[in-house]
Amino acid sequence: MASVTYENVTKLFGDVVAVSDLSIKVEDQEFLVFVGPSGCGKSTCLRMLAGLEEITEGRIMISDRVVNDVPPKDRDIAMVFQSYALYPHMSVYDNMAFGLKLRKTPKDEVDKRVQVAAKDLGITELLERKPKQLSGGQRQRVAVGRAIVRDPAVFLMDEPLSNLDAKLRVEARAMIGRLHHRLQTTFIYVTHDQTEAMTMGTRITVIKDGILQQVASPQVLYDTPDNVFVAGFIGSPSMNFFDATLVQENGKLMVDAGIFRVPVPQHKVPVCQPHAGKPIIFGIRPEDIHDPDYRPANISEARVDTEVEVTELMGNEVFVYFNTGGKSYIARVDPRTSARVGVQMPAAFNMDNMHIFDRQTEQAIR
Amino acid sequence: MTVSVQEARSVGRRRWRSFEAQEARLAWILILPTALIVFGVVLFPAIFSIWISFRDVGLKELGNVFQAEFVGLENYREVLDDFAFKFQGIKNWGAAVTSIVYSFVSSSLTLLVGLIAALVLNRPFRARGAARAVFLFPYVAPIVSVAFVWRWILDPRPSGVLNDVLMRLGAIDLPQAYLAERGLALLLVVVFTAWRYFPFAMLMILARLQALDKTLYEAADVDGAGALAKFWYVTLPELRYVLGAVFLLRLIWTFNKFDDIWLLTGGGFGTNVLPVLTYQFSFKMNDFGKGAANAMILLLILVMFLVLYVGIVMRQVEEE
Repeated sequence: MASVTYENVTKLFGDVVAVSDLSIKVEDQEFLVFVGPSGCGKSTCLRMLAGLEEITEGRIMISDRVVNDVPPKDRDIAMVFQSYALYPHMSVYDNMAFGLKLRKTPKDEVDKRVQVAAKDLGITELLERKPKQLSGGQRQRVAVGRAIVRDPAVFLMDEPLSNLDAKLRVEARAMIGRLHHRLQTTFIYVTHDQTEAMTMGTRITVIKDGILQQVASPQVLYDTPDNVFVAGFIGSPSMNFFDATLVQENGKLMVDAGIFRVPVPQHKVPVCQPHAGKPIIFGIRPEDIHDPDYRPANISEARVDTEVEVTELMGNEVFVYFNTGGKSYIARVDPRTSARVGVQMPAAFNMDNMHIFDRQTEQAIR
Repeated sequence: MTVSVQEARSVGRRRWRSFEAQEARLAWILILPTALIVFGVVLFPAIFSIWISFRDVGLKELGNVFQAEFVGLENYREVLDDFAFKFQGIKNWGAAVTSIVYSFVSSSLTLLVGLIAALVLNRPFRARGAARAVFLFPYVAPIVSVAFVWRWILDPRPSGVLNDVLMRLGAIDLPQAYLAERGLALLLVVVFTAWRYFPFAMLMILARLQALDKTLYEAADVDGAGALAKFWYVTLPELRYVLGAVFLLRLIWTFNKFDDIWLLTGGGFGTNVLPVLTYQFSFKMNDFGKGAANAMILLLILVMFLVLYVGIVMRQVEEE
């Protein structure tokens, strides 16, 4: 059990900045997720912590120990790799026992731990097999098993689910969640999939181009994204953005996107007022755009005239691609909606959940 | 109506058949040149040398070789008794035993040196490309020139490079004839062979090394493996196939190798191997019957080893 601290960590590959001045404190027993698009530096963050990449500048600490120059084996970590990296010529048992054997753990202790972990993961009957005789899901569990038998202070997982099909991924997600709950250890998890991040993390670190965008719990990240990138990255389908201006009209503050004008709800006026007349980005999530006939009660509704371009029935909801004045945006509406392709209809924006960002800095205004 | 359909079918079939026949004829025409060459220079000589090995064929029989006297297994008996397996003391084996020792030891050494070279050249360092090119040199240089360089180094006269150096250093008082000393000569020939052919092993092993999954080493790092443990538990198991294959190839080639030993020692001083002996019988003593019998013995031993090797070693590798 241990906390992990990144202190002004920078990583350069030649002249390329992979990670820039990253500072995070990961609390003991936390499940922290690094999320971001491919190539954003999230894996590098994890690999520096594992000791597989050198740290160019700054410090990484596990508990109170600076580990910059500590070799991976002495960091008390275990890692699950994206490709699983199982030793192909060793049986599942030997794969799991390898780390313990190298640490000269007594044989019966090794056996006990491997058996317990195998039972936990439901792979007892696979112990004698070789990795190539296993399915993808089984290999993934063996890779996790290899990490847990070591009983490390910190678990590192580098996209451990990205080689699984959708159904297995959901199962494995729950499995890792249970594991975290049971082991009560610090988990650090890297993924490019925001759904994985949202469902698994106690806190999420959003990274873009090696720069930390926001660290927060999933709900905070979803409700109050710090900038346009986080707003667009978290949530599926993504938030809709419109270039707009805040304008004063008949004593009311309005968002003027050119193609539509919608009023700022009363409780948001104090925040928005100082930005009147300035260029902003107006953001609204698909789930905050409704079919007027099926909108929730008690919302600050603003209607916008649109035409339906495409509808996608998901069963419990419908994704509607609206078009207003040549600009497309997406809504998640009630499945009873009368929206059909080509129909002209109003869309009801829930302005209580609107987001506005400074167009210059792309930072949230709130 | 039905009749005409049947007729049409049978005409079609006939045409089809003739088309197939044409195809078959074309195939034969196309492979004929190759088949002739293979028969003429491979199959016929091979079979003919079996025939010769049971006859007494010397220079005077060459004019009418098919009338040569049938001697049964006499050639084999003489070759086996007098040369191939004759044991005359610890440093004086028959050629068959020398062949076996020479092939196995030099193939093993080739593999070992190749493995070490491959591991070294797999690490990133400056001028690695140039180093790889230099390491290939012994393999690509003409055998005659490198053999004579070695003979010049090991020359028994005081002007020989090694003698000169050692005498200047005061390590020896008199020049030594390294290639004319039983035991040492065989050792030097083995070293020469390993030196000359390790680049082949190195190339093969290097190719495999570069295809290795790097994350296995990262996993081993995290698991706590040091350099030695990584080599033993990750690298070596991944190299088993290529090591097995390279050893087998080197063994076959070395067992049949004539020029290396011929150029270094001429087969003297305990370095006489079966291919050299075959040459000596046939073209020095002009006893083609014995030469052929000797070649047959070489072939039989080789086949025996291959069967053992494929049957035991490769099967184990495959079962893994």
